[in-house]
Amino acid sequence: MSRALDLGIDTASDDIALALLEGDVILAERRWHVAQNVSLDLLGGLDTLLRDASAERDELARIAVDIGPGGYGGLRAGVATAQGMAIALDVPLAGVVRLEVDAYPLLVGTRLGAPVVAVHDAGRSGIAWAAYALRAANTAPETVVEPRIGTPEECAAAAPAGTRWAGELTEPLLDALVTRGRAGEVERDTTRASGETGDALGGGDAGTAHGRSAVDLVRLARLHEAYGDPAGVDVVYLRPPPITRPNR
Amino acid sequence: MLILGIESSCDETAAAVVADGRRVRSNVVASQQLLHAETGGVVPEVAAREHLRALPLVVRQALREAECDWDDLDYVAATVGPGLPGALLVGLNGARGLAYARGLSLIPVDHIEGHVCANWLLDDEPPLPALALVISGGHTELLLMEDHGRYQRLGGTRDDAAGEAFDKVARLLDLGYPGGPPVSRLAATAPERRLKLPRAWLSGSDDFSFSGLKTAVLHTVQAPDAPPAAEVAWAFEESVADVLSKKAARAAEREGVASVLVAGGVAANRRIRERIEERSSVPVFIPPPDLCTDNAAMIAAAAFRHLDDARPAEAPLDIRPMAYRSRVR
Repeated sequence: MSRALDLGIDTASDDIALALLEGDVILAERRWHVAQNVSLDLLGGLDTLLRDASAERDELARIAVDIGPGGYGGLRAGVATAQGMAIALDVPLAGVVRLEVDAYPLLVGTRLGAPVVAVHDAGRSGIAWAAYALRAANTAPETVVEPRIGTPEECAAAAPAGTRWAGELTEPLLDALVTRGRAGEVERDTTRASGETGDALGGGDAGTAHGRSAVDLVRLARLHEAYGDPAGVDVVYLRPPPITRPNR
Repeated sequence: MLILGIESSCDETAAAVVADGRRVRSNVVASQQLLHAETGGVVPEVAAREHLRALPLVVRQALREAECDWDDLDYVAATVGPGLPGALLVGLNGARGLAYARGLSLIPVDHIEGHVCANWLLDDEPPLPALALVISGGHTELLLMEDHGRYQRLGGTRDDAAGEAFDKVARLLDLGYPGGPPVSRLAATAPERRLKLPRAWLSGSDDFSFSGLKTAVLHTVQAPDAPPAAEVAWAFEESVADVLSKKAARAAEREGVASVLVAGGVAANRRIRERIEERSSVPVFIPPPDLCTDNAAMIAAAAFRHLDDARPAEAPLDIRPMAYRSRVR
């Protein structure tokens, strides 16, 4: 009998993550590190994922994809692949913000209403960050501060008080938090969403960096009821394109 | 046999369905030209962002206009290069996702070869061997096409592509971007047609050069007794048409080809078309303008000639931004 499966695709960082779920059951997960080119073996990994779960392509009922912020090349490769698959299969696609995915493991282990700030190193001395809170169990997180980019100092100054921190806590950001007297908010082992065990839907993982990101993508897409037209899914860009005006 | 082609190498997001490499069932192009007009040229990052937004829409429209379903398709083809890396990445990954989902094989296509194969989308099939002149904003290539998939590169530009020269001259004359159409329109209004601008013949070579011509235009318009802009535009266009047509005609005669194929966005220029047709001793094939500028029908047409390159969509495949041309010696 044909199943209705959920696919999660996360190419926002150098650690590619894929997950296949049937309801709340994780059928298969794959994670691997890519040094440079996401697009080269994304579909190869996806094909292995489906084989691991003895799943057929036409059993995919919904796809969720990480829309960043993150590396543009990886994100566009992931989103374009997900869009292509969703259109050809005529299934809905959901885009989920990477910072919320990073915050999610901590959110489900934090008291309701308490903020979690997710950060990642956006290069050029920039920190991409956003703040989220969970108002009730088994609901979608609320965005407290929309994704933005700033210096470590700006992030340390503007993040909500009493927050917990998830994601890539860079040395400059840690220094800025110490300067602001906020060092106590940071759990030193909390890098790249190494969250706490257990979450509202079961599963969860204390594991490695961004460990269950593809699973959490699927969960967040469901909680937000974000599935829709694949053409409406776009990457989150926190910087404008670099444009040099012509001399004449 | 139906092939869905995808093209995204520069600033056009395109999808098309072509039957048997000859008949265009649909040819959908989302152009970013208005967007890039603001900056006077293509900004690669802007182009990549727009491709991602447009690709799902053009694919759907191409299937709808072709009145075909996914089950009717035999292959998916996509441009792998040459082109802008970020732009190519979106089209190739989108195409691979489409193909994978439907269990279709993917055919990687060289953009330049796509332009040449646009000539097989015409009513009459060009006889081979042929001389192919590909002239666009990014390329100026002179190729000897012995057969499908068998090319010899005779020459190419040493600096600016022909279309790039049009864009830069348009900027010097404050005509906006892209430069080809406004330069031609202005040239057509020139009352005096005496100005002569230099031609780079590069004798003994099939190469081209347009940077000296561009500099000559700059000096001409900056001179105290500068001629009217229309005359400068006319003289510039005449110089480009003269060099392209004479060098193509000479190469065609020397190589003993059966036809001359012209392709690429600059092939839409009427004066260049006329000059090449006047000077060629063999039949000249030039696609209509919508098949000269970047499109995906040409990609599907080229893919039809390379069915042996078809591979599972999940097999590793990367973009080739600088050059793909594995078939060009």
